[in-house]
Order: sequence, then structure tokens, then C-alpha cells
Amino acid sequence: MFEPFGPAGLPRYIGGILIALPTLRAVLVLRNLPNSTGSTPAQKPNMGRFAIAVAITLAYLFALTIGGVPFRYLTCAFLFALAATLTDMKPQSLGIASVIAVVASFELTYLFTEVLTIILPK
Amino acid sequence: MTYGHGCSRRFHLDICVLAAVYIALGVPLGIIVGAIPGLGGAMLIALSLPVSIYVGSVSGGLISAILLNMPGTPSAVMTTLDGYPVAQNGRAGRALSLGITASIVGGLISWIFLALLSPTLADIALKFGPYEIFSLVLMALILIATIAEGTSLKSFLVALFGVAIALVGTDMSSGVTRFDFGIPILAGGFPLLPVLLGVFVIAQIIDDLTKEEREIEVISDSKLTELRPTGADLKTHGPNAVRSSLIGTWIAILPGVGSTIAAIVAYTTTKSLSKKPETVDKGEEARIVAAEDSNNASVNGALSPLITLGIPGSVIDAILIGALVIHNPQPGPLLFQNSPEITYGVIAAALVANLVMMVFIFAGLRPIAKIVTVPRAFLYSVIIVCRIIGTCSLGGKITDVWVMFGFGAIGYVFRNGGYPLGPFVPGCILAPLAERELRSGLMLYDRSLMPLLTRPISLVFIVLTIVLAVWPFVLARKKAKAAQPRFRQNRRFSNNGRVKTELRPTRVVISTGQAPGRGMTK
Repeated sequence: MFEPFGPAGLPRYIGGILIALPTLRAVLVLRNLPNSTGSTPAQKPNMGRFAIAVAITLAYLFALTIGGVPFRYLTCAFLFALAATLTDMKPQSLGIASVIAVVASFELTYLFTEVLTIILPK
Repeated sequence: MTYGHGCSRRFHLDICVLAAVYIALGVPLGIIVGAIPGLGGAMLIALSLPVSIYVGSVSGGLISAILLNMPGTPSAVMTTLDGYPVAQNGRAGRALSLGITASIVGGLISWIFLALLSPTLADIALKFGPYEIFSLVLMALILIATIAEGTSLKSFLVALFGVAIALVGTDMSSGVTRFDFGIPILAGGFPLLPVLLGVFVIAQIIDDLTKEEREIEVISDSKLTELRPTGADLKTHGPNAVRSSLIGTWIAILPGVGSTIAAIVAYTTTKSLSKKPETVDKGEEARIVAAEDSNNASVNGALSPLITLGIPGSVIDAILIGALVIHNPQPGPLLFQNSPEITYGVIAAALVANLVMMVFIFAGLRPIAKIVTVPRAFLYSVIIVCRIIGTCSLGGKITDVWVMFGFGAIGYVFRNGGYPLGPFVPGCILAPLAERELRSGLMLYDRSLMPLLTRPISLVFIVLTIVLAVWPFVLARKKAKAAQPRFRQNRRFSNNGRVKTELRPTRVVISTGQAPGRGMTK
């Protein structure tokens, strides 16, 4: 061994501390549990909209990973779906979402592939 | 005149004319690129217009950091920590103004050093061996705790998590894979930019998506006042600006350290010396100045070893060396002698880029800041796509995009668990550098750690680390002492035989922190 810490010494020690400290923290939290409950009301998240947005994003990422669909069409569909989900779904908002989806996806693809010659996911 | 001379002159003339055009194009392009989270300077600089885009992108990163809590570039991460809280408090214009002015001041101060003291500074930088750089990085690592917004244990945990993430992958010294759990993809480690973008930008988007639209903090255009710095700002922030610029310039001269670390060190130093640590959660103007001053100063600072020694101060400077080599002159100690027009051309380009940046960024600030009035539904959709493109363009791997979203989820959990994200950055960035330099030092000095204390420069950093770490406690003690005379005055007052019971509630207030009740005075 050419150095005293060993090849993975530092990560090993840090891993040990990372296990020990959260354990200590968990013990402290559990001990103070009766006092801490009800102190601050938890914010109720908008989980429905959030779940749909996550599902759309994951689907987009899976589609990019698998490939087959050109980037610009896939991105256009993703932009419209995500923007529509996050808006109030009124016709005006959907119209703006569709315009932004088409313009942004085609412009971004052109800018990055043709002007800046970046290789995008197929 | 020889053919060679003619070529050189013509080349010089071309450079002068084209340089002005490139700078005028490059700075605004850099500002825009920096302002879009995910399209950092490192990517675009590989493509065109090196110096001006570098200056512009480092400065542009502060816009999205302050307005959206999404750092446009890694070096703007420290700006996010205080810039966004200041903007949320209704002073977005003030935060932007301070950040931009600090960027310009940092650029100009470091340019003076670049123009006048480049050879001297580069010579001193060569005296920095592995232990000197390690002690410098150690100073920044130890001061991580002072970045914390929450409890020190939580901050320490987040910092350690950052360190652990940075150590995943193959050890370059021994070839041993670490923290990979047998998963082949992890053998290469986590790329830095997707990790930082995930923790800061994706986490912010997830956080906003789980709120109602009306709950999302929107900084309206009407709040964009105070867009110009005042004379009082010079007095208030002047010393901090000079100190942070010097830190940024100096750290950038050290090879492989870079602008993000410069921002971290300047930020933590300012925070340690601050007399107002209680304003941590609300954002502190001085720390915006420190972060922006230092990261912009580092751009010119990194040019110093490049043009004097041919040593790149950062990855982006390595690309600049490539650009120089393509045009024939070899970067190195003889560049000043053999090709002074190139050397001074680069130095002049750095100055002009800073001045053009000042004009463009102040002129375009209000329209750029309109970005915050765009409905989040549209803004976030486009930002996500830009971020995916930016991440893919760096490594060309779709797995990096998954890494970014994975760390976005982790960042969201940290946020909601009350874990401050600030210490994650220094942990993540500094740990590999610290490990590399420590290993080099151990190999160089026959496994001995003693040179850390016997070599003067590293000893200075060790002492400085101790001083900066202890200083907040000294300040707190001073404050506690300053509060004591009031108590004594009360006691003297009561000893004069006035009302004896007046002392009791005062004592209760000091010892328990509770308001005095009727029962206590009985």
C-alpha cells in the first residue's frame, strides 16, 4: 500500500460517519417526538398535479432513453403535456401551451443541433 | 519585411477587428447562456468565443440564481443562497444590482492584477505544492459549517453527503471502485453539473409544483427597483468587494481550483467575518457581493497562469490554450517575449469583455428580469428541456439526465426535511480536490503529514482556518458580554433600595427566555 489511508480509506470513514450521524439524529428525533408533534402544520401539497407532472417527465425520459422518436417531436409533446398539466386547462392556456411547445421544441432543436452542433438524444 | 512578419501583422489586425466583434457578440450570448439554468459556460465555451462568453456566462449565472433560486452556472450556486432570500423579501432589484456591480468590480480588480502582476503572481502560484492547496481546500471544507442556515448537525450531514457523492467512482490513484455497490454505471462516478442542477434546480421545480400557483413566490416586476448601486454601497461593501476579489483572483491562479471554489471561499470568509450572523435565513447583501465578486475575479485570475506559464487555471482555460495553440504561439513563459501582441491582446480582451458585460447587463437587466413574470407552467417546461439538453451535451449520456432528476428528488427531500442545501456544494466540489492533493502530498513527502505544519504557506492556511472557525464564537461571546452591563445596571438600580421585585423578572428573562408572568413576581 503506497499511502496510509488505503485505497478507499477516506470514503470508508465518511460512509461510517454518514451512517452514525443520521442514526444519532433519528434517536434525537424519536426522543423529542411527543413534544414536536403539532408544532407546525404541514403544508398540504397539490399531489394530483404533481403526480401527473412527474409521470409525464418520467415518460419523456424513458422515451429519450429508449430512442426511436425524433427529439423535436418528443420534446414538443412533452412541453405541451407538461405545460397543459400545470396550467388551468382553459382553452387560452392550452393554446399558449401548444404554441410554446411547437416553437420551443423546433427552435431549441435547430439551435443546438444546427448552430451549436450538439448531439442530442435520438 | 519577411513573410512571417507579414503573416503575424495580418493575423494581429484580424484579431483586433474580430476580437471587438466577438466580444460584443460573446458577452450578451454568455449572459443569456448563464441565465438559463443548465446551459453553463463550460458547454458553450467549447463551441465559440472563449474569453467574452466566459466573462458573460459567469456574470449571467446570477440572474436566474437570484430571481428563480436556480443557479445558471455552478459558480452562481453560492449567490443563490442569499440572493434568492433577498429577492423574496421584495428586493430583487437590489440583489441583482449588487450582484452585477460586484461582478464588474471583481472583474476589474482582478484585471489590474492580471495586467500588472501576472508574472509575479504566477511565480508565487508555483510555490503552491499539494499540501498548500490541500490546506487551502481544508480551510474551505472546515468553514462549510458556517454556510449553514439550519442546525450544525444537519449542515454537517449534508456536507458529508456531498463529500460521499463526490467520492463515488474509480479511485484514480489505485483503480479501486468506491461506493459503486457493484453497479457498473457508478464506476465512473457522478458528473458534477447534473448533480448540482438536480439538487438546486430540479428540487426547486419539484418544490414549486407541489404548491398551488398562488403560493409560489413570484417576484413581480414592480419590485424591480434599486437597480443602480449608490455611493453608500461603495462605503458599505467596498472592503468586502476588494477582499473577495483578491480571494477570487488568487484562488483562480492555483491550477485546477476554479471559480466555484473561489466563490465558496470568499462567501465563507465574508460570513465568518460578518457582524450580522442572525440574518442568515433572510439573505445577506454582503455575501451576494462576496460570491459574485470572487467568481468574476476568478475569470481573469485563471488567465494569469495560462498566459505566463501555459498552465490552465480551469477546464475552460484549457480550451483557451487549445485556441492559442491553433493560432501558432505556444503558451508558456516565453509567450510574453515571443508573442506580446497575443498576450496583451488576451489581457485587453478580458478588460473589454468586462466593460461590454457591464453595459449589456445593466441595459438588459429589466427585460431579462421579466422572466419571473412568465407563468411557471411555461417557464418550467422550457427550463426542464434546456436542462436536459445542457446535461446531454456535456457527457453525451442520457444517464446523466437520470442522475440530475434523481438528485432533484434527493434535494427536494432535503429541503422539506429542513436540511440546508448550501453545505452540499462545497462538500461535493472540494472533496475530490482535497483527496487528490492529500494523496499527492503523502506520496511526495513519504507518507508524512508534518509538512502541513512545517511548510510556511500551508501553516498560514491552517492558522487562518482556526481563526476563521473560532471568530464567530468570539463575536458571539463579545455580544454576550455587551449585553451584561444592562443587567448590572438593573442590579445597581435595585440595590439602591427601590423596588426589590423588579430584579426577578429580569433574571427570569435572561435565564429562561420566557416572558415574566404575574406568578413569577410574587
